Amino acid sequence: MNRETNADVELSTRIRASTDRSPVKTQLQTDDRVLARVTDGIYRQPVSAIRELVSNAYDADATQVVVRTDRPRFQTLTVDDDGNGMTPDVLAHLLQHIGGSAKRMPEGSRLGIASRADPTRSPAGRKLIGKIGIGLFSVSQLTQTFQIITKTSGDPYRTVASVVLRQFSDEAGLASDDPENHESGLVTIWREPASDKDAHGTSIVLTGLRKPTRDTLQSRDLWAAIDSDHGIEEGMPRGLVPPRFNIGRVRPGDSNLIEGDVDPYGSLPWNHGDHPNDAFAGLVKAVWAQVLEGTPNPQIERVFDYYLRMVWQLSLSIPAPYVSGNPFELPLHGRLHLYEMPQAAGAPPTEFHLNAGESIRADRSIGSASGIGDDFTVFVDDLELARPLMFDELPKTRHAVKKPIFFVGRCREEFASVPAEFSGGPLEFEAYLMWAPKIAPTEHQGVLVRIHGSSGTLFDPTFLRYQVSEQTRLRQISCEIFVTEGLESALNIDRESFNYAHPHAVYITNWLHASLRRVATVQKRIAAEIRAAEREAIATGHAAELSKIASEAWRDERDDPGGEPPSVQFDAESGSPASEESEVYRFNRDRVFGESVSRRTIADDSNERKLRAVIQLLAAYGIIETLTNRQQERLLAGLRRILETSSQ
Amino acid sequence: MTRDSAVRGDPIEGIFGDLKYAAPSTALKEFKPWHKPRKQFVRRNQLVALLQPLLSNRVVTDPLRYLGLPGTDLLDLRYLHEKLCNECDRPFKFLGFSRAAKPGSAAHVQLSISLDEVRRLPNVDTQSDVIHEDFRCLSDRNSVAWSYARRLGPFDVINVDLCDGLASESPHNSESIYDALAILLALQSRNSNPWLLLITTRIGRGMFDARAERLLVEHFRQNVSSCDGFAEACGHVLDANAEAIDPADCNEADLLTLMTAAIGKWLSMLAQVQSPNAVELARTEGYRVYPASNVEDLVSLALRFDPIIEAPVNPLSPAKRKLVDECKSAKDILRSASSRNNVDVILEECPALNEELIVETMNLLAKARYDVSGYRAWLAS
Repeated sequence: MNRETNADVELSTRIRASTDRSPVKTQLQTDDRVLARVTDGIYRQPVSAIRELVSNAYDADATQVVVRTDRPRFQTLTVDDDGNGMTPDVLAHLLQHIGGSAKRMPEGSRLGIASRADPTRSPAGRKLIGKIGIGLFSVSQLTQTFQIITKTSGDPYRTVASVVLRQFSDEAGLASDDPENHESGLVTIWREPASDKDAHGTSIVLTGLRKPTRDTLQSRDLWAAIDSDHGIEEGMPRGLVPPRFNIGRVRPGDSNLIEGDVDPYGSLPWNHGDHPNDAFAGLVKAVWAQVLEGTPNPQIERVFDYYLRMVWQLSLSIPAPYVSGNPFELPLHGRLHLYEMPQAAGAPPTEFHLNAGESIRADRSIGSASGIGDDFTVFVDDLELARPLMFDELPKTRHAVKKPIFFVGRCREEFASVPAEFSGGPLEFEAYLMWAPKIAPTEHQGVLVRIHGSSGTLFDPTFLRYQVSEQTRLRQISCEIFVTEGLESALNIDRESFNYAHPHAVYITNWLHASLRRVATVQKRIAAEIRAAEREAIATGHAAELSKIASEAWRDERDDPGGEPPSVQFDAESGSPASEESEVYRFNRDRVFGESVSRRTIADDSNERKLRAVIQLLAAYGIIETLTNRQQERLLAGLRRILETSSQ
Repeated sequence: MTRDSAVRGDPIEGIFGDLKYAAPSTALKEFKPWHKPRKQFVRRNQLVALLQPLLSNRVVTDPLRYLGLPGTDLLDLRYLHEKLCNECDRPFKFLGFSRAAKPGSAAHVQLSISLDEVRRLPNVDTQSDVIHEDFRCLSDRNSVAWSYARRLGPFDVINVDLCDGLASESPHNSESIYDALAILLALQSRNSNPWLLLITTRIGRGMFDARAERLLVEHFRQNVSSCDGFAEACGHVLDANAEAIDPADCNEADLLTLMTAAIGKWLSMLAQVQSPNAVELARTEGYRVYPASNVEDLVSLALRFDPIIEAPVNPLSPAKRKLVDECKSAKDILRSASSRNNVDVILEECPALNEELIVETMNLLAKARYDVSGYRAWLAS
């Protein structure tokens, strides 16, 4: 047993013997000065720290997490879960090795925070998504003072750790006297008797949120800009108005009082008493409703204040069910164009159809990874979070393609020909790419990569730096990639960006870019087919009317009820093969229509049909026969120009 | 940041919070006067016994909504949950105000542990919370406290159990319990179900704020002059002449009855402001806090409010409906105030009941992590 393990065991023993009358007081330790700095703050936004706490709960096999705030004041914040809780051993290890996560290591299995058989899985078998050492102390971004209250099932005690974090100092001498361990804070730990022996889970209670954190959560900059006399600050447009939906705000001089409207639901898209999942559905529908309310391209950034944006981002990043159903599980018969991406590079997507009531997952055996999180419920105050993505019953647009085009794919790459030292091991993922006339909010345009159901990167609008200039089409594509094996080591430490040089990141990038090209091809083809069909439909009605005029004239003049006027043909060259029909007027297309143009319009088609009817009418009255072929063609060219003039 | 500091422009103002580099620690759990079995008597006979029939006609999916002022032990919440929610799977939604448990303090850590315990009980709604707010803040409709009440209310029971209760409270304070209650009653007008208001307050000579006492008694006297039979009813329960009653002159028992009835009367009147309610002083329990007191000096009033769903007025009908008979209500409140239960006497006369309550209290305290092995010795001391 090494020195570190000895220290862990000693602390664990002391914790087990502690009571509220004899607490253990010790220092938080990090193994490395770099980690001490890292745990001091690696995130840019409060939502990141909350996401890491939720991830830890997921890894602890929690089925429910509740994030509570005292919005809009944000004096306190708690995160409760019903996970496995932490034994004194786990807590001791955590406090002695901040940043040195035992997850995914044999140590995790020994401590019981990972499966005995597989240290990359939770005790109940979930693939781990967080790193407890870093995740827990991500709270340093939010506060310097917090408590951990934790209990494992069967333990007749709760373990309480009360923590105060120290600010990292650039002066080496201030950090710690011990060159090997670095003090990150102080902690008091004790055991409290528990009558609810079978209860289990962890509560993190954050008190005294840092002012910058409170300011961010309160959207203070935004409100200050709105309040300012001129309504502008640098980068903010004149006439700034409050976001359409917001939680309200406290008064600048007194955070116990709320400014303005006293109705806490006055500016929220859900109502008092709504069930939390109905309330969240209300939030999502409110964004789409903006499309119909005069904001064709709603942006979360403008529609919501920071708190609601935070909730939205959290709902995108955590393992959770979909708000309106998982697209792989929905009975999408006839509601979307469906294609499967073959794994082979260059192969075209194959269209498939679902029977009524059948889902993609049932039909194609694809999409199981999208269901990660279905057994995980996260509440934030009034809301029960769900992935805020909708695939069906989207608002109608004027685009020719009315139904979204939904591409699914899966991929497993063993990198069999490459040593594992270079490849990083196998990579496996499933994905969908949805093309739709409109993607709302605009922040959902892009690709979101989930690893075991979790994503810190959110939607990347560049599609992993796709360089092809198809800006319009890319704004109509939303994509999720569900990684079930690999890629994790390509995540940077904040888990909000990738190391793009990692082989797995390169592979997924290449796959995505190839898929985007396939999407473009299919979407263009479908759109062209729909336009052609529309043109045909227009032509059919139009042509029938013209044909009727010519036929009636022919029959009247010839007194032949069964007669039909000769057909009219415009050949590219006068030497073109003759038609099999016997009665055909043939004209040189170039001489009648001028130099041929590659792109014909519906009006061109219409004029050509009219011209044919005119020829048939002239033939019915015997006029056309009186002219030479060249005269006929000059007459038709003149008539064609008249028609074009009148139709412009 | 305060306005002053903002004006000064101190560059480090607002960057730092609490500058104490020490983690909040443990708090010793010692038995307090409110841990005596008489409090459990009130809990059992008011909180649960009166609430149970209100819930019996409602579907079990309809949550029990509670607003109160719990201590860090959450004893009332634990008891309510056990008796009214656990067995029948009824959801429990609560909102607590706790001024004492300041975030970052040892008391707040204890409250957090208690909340962790209670929230892990089955059927407790995820939005349930105890916030660091003074109950009086409810009197301001712009307060965070009021915002919370709006979100979680209306309630089936409001339990205002303060140390002094209404006694030392001036109604002229900018934020008073009186104002908070008035605003809460307005919120309760949205409640279509019968509900309970429990108020615990000290009552005794010299205990009440003079202005509050005068206003409450004036309101009582109005009934004497305006209601037929009220003076007569007073004659049955008071030694003093009701028409000229003066708290300074009447005996301690009359003072207790007078102030109890006056508080009940005032709340009854408030309850009619937004919408009509039948108000009943369902029970009154009292006991002595100061050993030197001759009569009970702390009372718990339990008022039941039954919303009256008003039918549309028929303009052709000459008869004017009187939805609430204020005089009858006043007489009933007076009668109930005078027939309060002296819990000290009841427990002294019934050792078996006292023992039951001791056991129940010990169970509750054990759940709240107290070492109850010394409880009986503490009671005896």
